[in-house]
Order: sequence, then C-alpha cells, then structure tokens
Amino acid sequence: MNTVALTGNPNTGKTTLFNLLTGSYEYVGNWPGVTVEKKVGRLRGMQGLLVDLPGIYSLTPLSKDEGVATGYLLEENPDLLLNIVDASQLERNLYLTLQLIEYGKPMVVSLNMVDVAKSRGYEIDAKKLADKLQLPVLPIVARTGNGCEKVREAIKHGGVTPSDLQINYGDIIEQAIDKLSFALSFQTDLTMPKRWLALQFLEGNEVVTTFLEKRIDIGLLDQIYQQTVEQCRKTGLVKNHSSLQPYMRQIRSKVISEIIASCLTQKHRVEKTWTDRIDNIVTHRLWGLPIFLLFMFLAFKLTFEWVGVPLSDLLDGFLGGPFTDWLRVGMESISLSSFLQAAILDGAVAGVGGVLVFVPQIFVLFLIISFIEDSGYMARVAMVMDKIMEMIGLNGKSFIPMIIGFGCNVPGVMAARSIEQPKERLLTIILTPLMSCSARLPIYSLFVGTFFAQNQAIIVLSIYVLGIVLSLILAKLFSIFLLRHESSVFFIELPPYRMPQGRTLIRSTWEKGKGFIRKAGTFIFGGSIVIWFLSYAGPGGLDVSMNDSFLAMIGGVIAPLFTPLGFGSWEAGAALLTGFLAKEVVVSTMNIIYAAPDALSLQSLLESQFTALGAYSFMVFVLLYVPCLATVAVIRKETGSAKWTWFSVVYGLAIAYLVSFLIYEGGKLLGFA
Amino acid sequence: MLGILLNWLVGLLVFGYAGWSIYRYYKRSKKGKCAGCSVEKSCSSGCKPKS
Amino acid sequence: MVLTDVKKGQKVQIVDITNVNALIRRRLIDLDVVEGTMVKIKRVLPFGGPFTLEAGGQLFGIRRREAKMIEVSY
Repeated sequence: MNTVALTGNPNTGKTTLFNLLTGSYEYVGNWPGVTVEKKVGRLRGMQGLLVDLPGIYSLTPLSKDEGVATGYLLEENPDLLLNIVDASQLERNLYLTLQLIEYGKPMVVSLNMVDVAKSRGYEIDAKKLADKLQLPVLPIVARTGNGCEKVREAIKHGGVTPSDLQINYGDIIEQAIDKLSFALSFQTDLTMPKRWLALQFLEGNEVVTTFLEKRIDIGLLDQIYQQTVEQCRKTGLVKNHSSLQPYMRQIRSKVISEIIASCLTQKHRVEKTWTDRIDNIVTHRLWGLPIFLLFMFLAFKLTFEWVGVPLSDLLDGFLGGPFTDWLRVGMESISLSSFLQAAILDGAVAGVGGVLVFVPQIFVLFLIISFIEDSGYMARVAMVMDKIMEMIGLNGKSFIPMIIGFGCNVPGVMAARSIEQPKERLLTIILTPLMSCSARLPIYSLFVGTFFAQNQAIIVLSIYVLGIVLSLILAKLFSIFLLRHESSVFFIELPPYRMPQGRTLIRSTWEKGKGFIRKAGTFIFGGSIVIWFLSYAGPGGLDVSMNDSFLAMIGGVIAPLFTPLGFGSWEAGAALLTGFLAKEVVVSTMNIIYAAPDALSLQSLLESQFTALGAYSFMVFVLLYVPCLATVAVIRKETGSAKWTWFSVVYGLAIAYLVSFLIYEGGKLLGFA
Repeated sequence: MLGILLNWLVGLLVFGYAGWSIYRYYKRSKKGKCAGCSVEKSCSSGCKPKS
Repeated sequence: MVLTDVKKGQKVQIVDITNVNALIRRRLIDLDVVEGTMVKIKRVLPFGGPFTLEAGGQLFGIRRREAKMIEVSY
C-alpha cells in the first residue's frame, strides 16, 4: 500500500487539499495550528493512504504539534512526500521544502494560493521553480479545487526522487556529516538518508537527537558536535552562540534567494489590502474588544432568539405530537406489551427526543464558530485578548481552545497543543472545560425557556460569560499558587482574511454537529433506556410509582447535598449524576423522570419544582461541575498526568458547589427567591 | 404466537442496542481521540505525552 | 534603537534579535524574520498590548516586551 505524507507550513491549506484528494472531511480553519494530530485518509481514485501532518516551518519542532510531523518522518516510512507550498509566502515555505528534499523520498510540490499571490502582485513561474528544485511543481488553488486533478495524477506517477539539488554546507559541516554517516554505517534498518539525519542532528533537532542517541554512543555524538562548533567558531562561521543552526540556515537561505530570483517577479505593489482594512476595524485599539463582545452577543441572539429556538420549537412540536402518535398507533397494532411501549415512549423517545430537539440551536452555534474559524478572525481574537490573558498568566492563544471549547471541550483541549509554553498549555487544558460546550446548551435552553422566557439570550450569555470570567480568575489563582516560574510568551501569525465559502461552512458545521446527532442515536439512546428502567423498577418490583423507584433512591442519597444550592430534589440529583457521562443526558433524564410528552408540559412541571433563582443556580452548577467522561479522558491523554486529571475533576466540583451556593444564598438575601 | 415473538424481537432489539451503545461509548471515551486513528499502532508521536 | 521606538507605519531594518526570548526568536526565524529583514509596525493594541508587525507580506503579533528586545535601524 502506498503512503503519501502531506507536509507544509502552517495554514497553507494542507487539510483542504487532504479533503479534496481523499474525499473525506477533516477540520479546516484559517489559523495556524488547525491540525494538531496526524490524520489518515484513503486516496480517491487510486490505491494508497494520505497522511495529513500538522503544519511546520522547519523540521526542528518547537511546540508539541510540530513534533508530530518530525516524529512521523522518523518512525514511519512514507513512499511519497506531497509538499504544499504557499505561493504568497514562497521564501519561507521553501525552507521546509529544502529540508524535505534532503529526506530523499520521492516528492511532489503543489504551489497553493497562487490566486492570493497574484492579488498581492506576485507572479511565479512554476516551470522555472520546477527546474530549480528538480521536482514537479503544480500550481493549485485548493479552496476551489483548481489544479488538484494534476496533483492526483502526479501522485499516481509516484513523484520524482530528488537528487540533484544537494546543498554544500561547507567543509566543516560536510566533514561532520561524513563522520556521523560513518558512525551510522552499521545501522541497516534506517529508511531515511544518513545525510538527512546528520544534518538534522547538527541543526539541533531534539527529536532526531533522541533517535540517534539510541543508535550511536552519546559520547561520540557529543564529541562530533562540539568539535564542529569549535571549528566553525575558529573560522568565524559561528559567532558567540554555540548553535550551528543560524549558519546552516544562512546557507539554505542563500540557495532559496537564488531560486526565488529566478522564478518570482513582482508585477505591481499593493498598498492597502482588504486584510488591512478589516484589521483596522476589528483590531482597532479601542473598538477591538467591544466588537468581539458584540459579535458574541449577536451569535447568542441568533442561536437562542432569532433562528435556533423557533426551529427547535417546530421540531419539538413534531416529535411530541404526530411522531409520538404514529409510534403509539404502530405499537398498538402489533400489540406490543405495555412494558416495551413504556420503554420506547417514556425511555427512548423522551430521552433521545429531548436532546434532538436542540439540534437546530446547536447547528446555528456551530455555524457561527465555523465562520470565526474559517474567516481568519480567530487569530485576531487572540491578538485582542492577549493583554487580558497576559495579566492572568496565559496568552492570547489560549483563547482559541476556549472558543473551540464552546462547541465541544474535547477538540478544545486538543487545540491547546499549539501553545508553545508548557505551563500555559497545561493551564489552558485545565480551564477549557469551564467553556460551556454545546452539550450543556439543551439544559440551559430548557430552563431559560421555562423561567426566563423574555430574556433567553442574555441569561444564557451570562452563563457563558460566567464560565469565561471564572476561568480567568482561576487561571490567575492557579498561576500564582500552582504553576509559578516560566515567563509567558506570545506569538501569533495573522493569516489574511478570506470570505468563508458556503460549502465549506456547511460541511464543517455538519462535521462538528453530526457527532451530536450520532451520540443521540447511540449513547443517549442506551442511557435513556437504562435511566428509564431505573425509574420504572424499584425495590417493590416493576412499574412502581416514580417516587419509589431505584432512580429516586439513588437521587435521594445525594439530594440533601444540593438543598443549600436551591435544587434539593431527588430528580435534580439523579439528573446531575447521569450528566457525568455526557452532559446532554441531564435533559434526557429530566424528560424521563417528569414523563413529559413534550417540552411544554415538561416546562410546566419544572416550574413546580424549581424557583427561578434555583433554576439559575442549577444551570451554573451544570456549567461548572466535572467535565464529561470524554473530556476527562482527553485531559488525561493530553496532560499525561493522573494528578492533573483528578485535579480538573475535583476543582470543577468544588467551584460548582461554591459558586452555585453563593448565587442561591446571595440571591435569596437580595430577595430574588 | 406471532405477537409474543414480535415482542421478544423488539425487546431484544431495544435493550440489546442500548447495552451495546453504552459499552462502546464507554470504551471509546476511555481511549480518547487516538482510538479512531488508523496509524494508532505505529503512532509514537502525538498520542504519547511528552515528559 | 529598538522596535518600540519606531512610529506606526515606518519601515525599519532588523539589526539584532539575539536578546529576544528563545521561543519567540525561533518563531521569528521560522517566519524568516531575521537580521536584515525589513519590518513595519502595523498596529499597536492599547494598555501595553501586543504589536501587529508585517514582514515580507506576512502579518504577525508579538508582545511589547519582545518588541523592545529587537534592535532596528532605518
């Protein structure tokens, strides 16, 4: 089986090309660091796999996601490298290309964003570039799919093995390469050129160094390295620092300059681009932050008042009305037992339907998040937020995982990988679960629809803002008491804006949202049946009254704990317990417990159980208490530490209890009860 | 007769599917994101945390 | 002269980046922002916020603290 590895600088359209070539759909966005883990897809129209690697500037990794690409080249043995090069940033993109050429595998270069380059007044002669690199160079516009057919053809033909363009690094380095190659001569299992390994080692690539240390005597490695540095220093090639990297970079840059000079011409100068104009507004020194907040407010208005809720109401009417009737008639006609009828109607339909009703709202929210991601606004938000984030010991980039966390905490936690600084990364991972994910949204929707019908958007926004504010406060506290030292740094690339294409938006919205629907059909279904059974059975046998069921017993044990928070009923306790598995289950459980045929009757039942203040307190508790099972698992994986995983569970519970307590008791004192 | 059979069939379907989906969700959650990756076995880079 | 002394919109040449934080320096080098590169301050966010810089058609943001460490000349 052929394996093709897709490599290139961050934000050059690798994932877009990946989607075109494989026909699958992966997460695409317009900020550097969208792909933090490699992805594999089957190539369309031919045999073979395509591996999408995170974007890198050079093979020397700096953040965790970059290590993935270098590690891949060391451990796996791809048959072909597909190198995507951003035509509008040719010079810096070619740096990686040269390093990949040294890797010695057959290559195809696809020159992406030729349209962007043109709009900036650059003309690139792909033929001349191909001559210089001795590789096939194919101009494409991945966003529109232009030229991708040719790339497919080139892959089919197996690319071209680079050989001619071998850079001479000067006598001293070349000698060191020879020595290292000799030391490696007994390693017969190496799939990559020894020259490449030697070059990467001399450049200070830590991943390669670790790889070599397993194969060559560490003393010898160190000796060769020190000797080379010493010699370079004597001849003045390396100045005061003890790294060869600047010198080697200089040599490559010279080669690149020659290549560029032969194939790039600037036709005209573009003074003010669209990106400048938009940036003048959205990163304005005074309006920048208010514009972001306004944008978020509109997002909530759209989700909860203008589009999402009306659609949800329609769906609810259908599920609770005609659908249930048809189902009942159908089940009667095949004379299904009353036990099974109850299991299906009061269990599955109530539980799954209660969650499905919120699909329109969740999709509207995902559509907005996709827009932020694809337009290039995301990186600007990081810019605007950096000052505030710096004050609490984080950096502006931490805000990106948090925004993604609004969709789902799991990819949010993963997105923290693009943060360079370990402490800031850990803090971001731990705090991302405080971002209210879409699974929590049905719970808020249910409660605001019941208790705060007039101000739905603003109440829900207040919950989201509470999550953000608390995470900021906690970040400050944690960085003072738990993770001192290490200075905070910030660096972000600001990609040019682009108008998200309708097709891409719809696809990425669907990709984010389909998990929600799938989960409703699988896990929520299963959970609903189990919960229904617990509510149907009790110590007294089957079909007991709800208050004598197992569920009531279980919920009743923990209910007293919640009395000071304003929701001490066994129903609330049971719903919260089940919510640890997945937060939507809270709504499913409530639907089953209150045995309400539709949202309307559920709402009237809720009114008899909660006060408005208690309902708010409940929403806050749901926002903050333990991350769901999937999030806990990904935190464990990403931090690699059981200690921090437990910490994130425990502090969540503690904060949830404390804040809900303060809100409920404080609200009572102020006379809101 | 047919009615009883149908009852058993639907019951088995509903409860069987419910049990299976919970089991799968639990397993997948525990394994995290890498479980779905086709180079999971040879992958030594992304899944292992850097210490 | 350091980058923070430069007026918005003025194009300057980088003289020295060795004092910049190592992580940031690596990123700058990645973007081919090295000694000799021409940069321009596009925007400065308020309350000591980050700078938006442009070099070779590429926009990027760094903090004031780092900008202070970059030696430049006209």
